[in-house]
Amino acid sequence: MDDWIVEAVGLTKVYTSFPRKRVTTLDNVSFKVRRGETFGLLGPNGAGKTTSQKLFLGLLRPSSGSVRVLGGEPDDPEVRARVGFLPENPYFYTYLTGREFLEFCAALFDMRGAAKHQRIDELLMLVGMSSAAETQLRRYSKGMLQRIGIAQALINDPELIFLDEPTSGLDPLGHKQIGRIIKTLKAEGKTLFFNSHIMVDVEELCDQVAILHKGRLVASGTVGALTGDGRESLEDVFVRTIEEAEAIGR
Amino acid sequence: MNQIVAIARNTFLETIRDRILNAILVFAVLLIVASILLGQLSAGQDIKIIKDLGLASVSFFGVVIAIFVGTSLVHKELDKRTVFVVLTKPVNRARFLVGKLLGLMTTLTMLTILMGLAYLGLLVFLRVPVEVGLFQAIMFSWLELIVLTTMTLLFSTFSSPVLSMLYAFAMYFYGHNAQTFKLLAQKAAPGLRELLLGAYYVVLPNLTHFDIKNRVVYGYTAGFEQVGLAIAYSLVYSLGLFCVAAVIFHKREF
Repeated sequence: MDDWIVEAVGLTKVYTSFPRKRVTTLDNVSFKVRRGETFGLLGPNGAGKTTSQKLFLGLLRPSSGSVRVLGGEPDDPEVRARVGFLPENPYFYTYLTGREFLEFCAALFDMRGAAKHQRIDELLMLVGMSSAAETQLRRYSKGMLQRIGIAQALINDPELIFLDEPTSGLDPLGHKQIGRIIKTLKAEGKTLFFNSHIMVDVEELCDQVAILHKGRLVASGTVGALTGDGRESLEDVFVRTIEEAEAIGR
Repeated sequence: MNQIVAIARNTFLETIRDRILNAILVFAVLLIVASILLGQLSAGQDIKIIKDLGLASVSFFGVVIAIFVGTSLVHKELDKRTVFVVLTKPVNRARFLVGKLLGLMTTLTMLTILMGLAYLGLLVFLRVPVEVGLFQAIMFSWLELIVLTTMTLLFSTFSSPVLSMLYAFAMYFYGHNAQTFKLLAQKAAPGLRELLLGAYYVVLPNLTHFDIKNRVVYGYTAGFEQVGLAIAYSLVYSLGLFCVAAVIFHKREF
């Protein structure tokens, strides 16, 4: 039996603003993610990727359709206790040091005492931030913020991790470091769901992908199936799919 | 409980590490001290002026900080997207608001104590008798801050900081003139107008319960009943405001 960890069925999100203006950011989107998979949600800017993640995280509520995460509702505290999230371009509390920020996140999971401190030290080591742990976040570079962001997303040792554009805007070194951390998580058997428009990363890291365009699902499948087992690059597949969708007016 | 303490502590750190707050605090202490100079300018009225201006400063700067910091309390979290980090963790939204409120109230309590100590210290230094009424006036200002902070928190759950600030100042000025609405309601002819004015009086904040500053400088001391009413009004009214804020915030999408 398939062990679905994320399920979207007929997911639709419509924003209504005064006077009667309706904007559909997601339109009848359905897909599923298996436990242990690395799933990439692709799409040009404004395709609905971040909206999808927000729906899976309970920050938004669907206009119609349904979302199941780890078998439950996304805003169920028991579900959230098993989920991690790295937002796009994370802005954290800049007046806190890296360690204070992780202590704050640990407290939100009711973690205490020696176990909390041990977990924080482990994560600082994993993301290579031990030496900057006592520095205020305002002094961090973008790559450092991204790494401390991954550390906070892992504080509860989650089964499922949502990463929103984890490598965008990073220098080559930062990009490589984040890629290495994601591979470590994948090797540990974590389920990863990430949004990206950096095709090289997706091709290298993902098992399954789905492509969104103007809020609609225009392609999905394994990376191998979509690229014809490597005969075509994922980037070419992506561009062709978007162009075809544009041509038929979807 | 751990979560609320963590959010409150974080909010407290956020506010006290804000340089604007330090500037306001220094300005407040300077103004309290400057009341000596103003007192010297008015022959025979010096002690009254010192008492009056000092108390007004403690109250005024508390209100300014409550409104300025309170209105951006939630908005800053949305603007900087830090709210995503907190609300995607197993944190109940109402608890998030409780934490924010307690954090800011901790800062305001600390500031009220600091300004109060500067004020009372100045009176002791000038050998002016420190009556119970002065302590009461500072405590009443603090009770007023609970209402104002909760109110600004409520506004910040659905409005921009600038609008929230306008609403909060409007409520503050209304609140100190609430008795006028009561009188108008009493004098209005029976009907819709009377009903509306009466409703305004009941629903909108009545901050005159906390205003004893003008009387204590003449040696007035609030009785047990008045103190009890001020405490009860502050807590009950703030609880009502908080419940509305929690409902709005619960329904909000990010």
